[in-house]
Amino acid sequence: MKIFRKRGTRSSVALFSVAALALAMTGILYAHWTDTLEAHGVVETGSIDPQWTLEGTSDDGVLNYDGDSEPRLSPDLDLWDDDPPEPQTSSGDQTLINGDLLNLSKDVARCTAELAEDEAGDENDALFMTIENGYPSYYCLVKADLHNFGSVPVKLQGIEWVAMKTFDGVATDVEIFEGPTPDGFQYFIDAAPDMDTDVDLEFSWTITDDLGDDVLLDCGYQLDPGEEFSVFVDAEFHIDQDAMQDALYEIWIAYEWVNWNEYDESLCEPAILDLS
Amino acid sequence: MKRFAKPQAVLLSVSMVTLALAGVLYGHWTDTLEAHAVVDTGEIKAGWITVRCVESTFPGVQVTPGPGGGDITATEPGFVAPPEWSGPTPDESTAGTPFWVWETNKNVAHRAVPAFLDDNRTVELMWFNTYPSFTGDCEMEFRNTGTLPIAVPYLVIMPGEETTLASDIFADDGEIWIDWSSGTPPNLQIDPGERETASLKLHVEQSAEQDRTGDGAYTFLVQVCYHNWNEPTDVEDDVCDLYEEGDGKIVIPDPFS
Repeated sequence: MKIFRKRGTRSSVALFSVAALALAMTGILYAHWTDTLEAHGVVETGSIDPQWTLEGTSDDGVLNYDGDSEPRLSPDLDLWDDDPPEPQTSSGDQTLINGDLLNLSKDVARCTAELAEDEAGDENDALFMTIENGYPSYYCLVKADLHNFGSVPVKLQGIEWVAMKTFDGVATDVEIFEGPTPDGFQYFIDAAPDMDTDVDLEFSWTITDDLGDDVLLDCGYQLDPGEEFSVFVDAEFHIDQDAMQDALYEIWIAYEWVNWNEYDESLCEPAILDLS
Repeated sequence: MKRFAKPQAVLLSVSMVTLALAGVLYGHWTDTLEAHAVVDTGEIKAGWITVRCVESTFPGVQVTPGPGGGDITATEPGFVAPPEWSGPTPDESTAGTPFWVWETNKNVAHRAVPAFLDDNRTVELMWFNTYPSFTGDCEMEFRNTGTLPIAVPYLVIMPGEETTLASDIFADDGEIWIDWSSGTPPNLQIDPGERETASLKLHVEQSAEQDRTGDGAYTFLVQVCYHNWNEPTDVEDDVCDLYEEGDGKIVIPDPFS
């Protein structure tokens, strides 16, 4: 029994060794005669990121033009002395009377602008413009730029305009009318200029491109990425005679941008009454 | 029943996940830019803040002193007191002045507290128990209480219904003569918070009637016309309603200059 057991063990060991060796040899041989091709896919997505940038206002107390700035840092945001021609201040009141823009000696109104996050937390997506202690004929210019800092073109899916007037603690919605002017389009708050009542507030929202040409920023407008193309916004406020004292006028404008290939023309609706 | 429910649940779950993902993806590929403009307009508001009336003196005119506290009177130069006159008389040393002013030994006239009307832009002045030659003097202080500068093109002195204003002192064409003066520079604008003062003088003329009391008393209103500083002065402004009303008023241009 002992002898049989020894013989059986030796045979098993030998058989196992031969089998292992054979398998190893097979693997080596197989490895020498195979090859693996790999495909590695990387999908890097772009981004859409339209943002405001802000140059300033004509009555914010900040000198915008230092003489060495790029041309777009507008000298028209400052009040200038004629002799010698140099910017003096950006805090005096300007009035627009019968088409003439006058720099007057008063400094009681204030016009400021700032950028902020929107409700979604996106930086520079909200542009706040504020005029305090305004009065009829007071004029303010706000300059802001609209950039697509993303890498994918965006298209304008819709524009929403809302205006509201608060007087004596009561807030009411007011209409915005769009009308053509020699310099582009102008928006009239609370009444159209050809109606019986006077206008409370004129609000010019002029948009130009790099070349200074007017841009009709309407549904379907495509804003391409990159530094080469920008859209500049001049917001001009002109308070009219019919404006109420101690009142608050508020205007909200919302531009909804979508990825350029998701634009749906059927969703566009006119936001304001077109008088043209 | 059990066999049929499982595929339905799976289908529903897959649909929901797909929809949710689509929403998330869409949300990631849109962006809204907002512009928010707020225009806050200021307030044009101004009014009288103090009116101090005393029995009057006149600039450049020497007042012959009396016992103190007496009514002040003014007469034409050369006035000769009648023999029965018992009080002080004007000093002839004031000859050459437009009128003689002196303090009498009587103290019978008195002023009423001025009434401020129309949100203080109008003040009503009233004197009691006056008599011819009596003079009064009110120092009036006007303040811009709004937030915007104002221009003050006019001041209107409107007599009451029973009052006739004289064109000049001793002119004998009215019952009350009123003079307005201020020493500030011309083309005045008043900035927010600033105040200006002026002087109003009155003289009871000889043609004034006796016993004008109560509703028949001699009264007049003094109202300032003002508007936004950058408007032309010919604008009809609703803060100056007396300018368009009534006869017999006196309109004083640039009242604080």
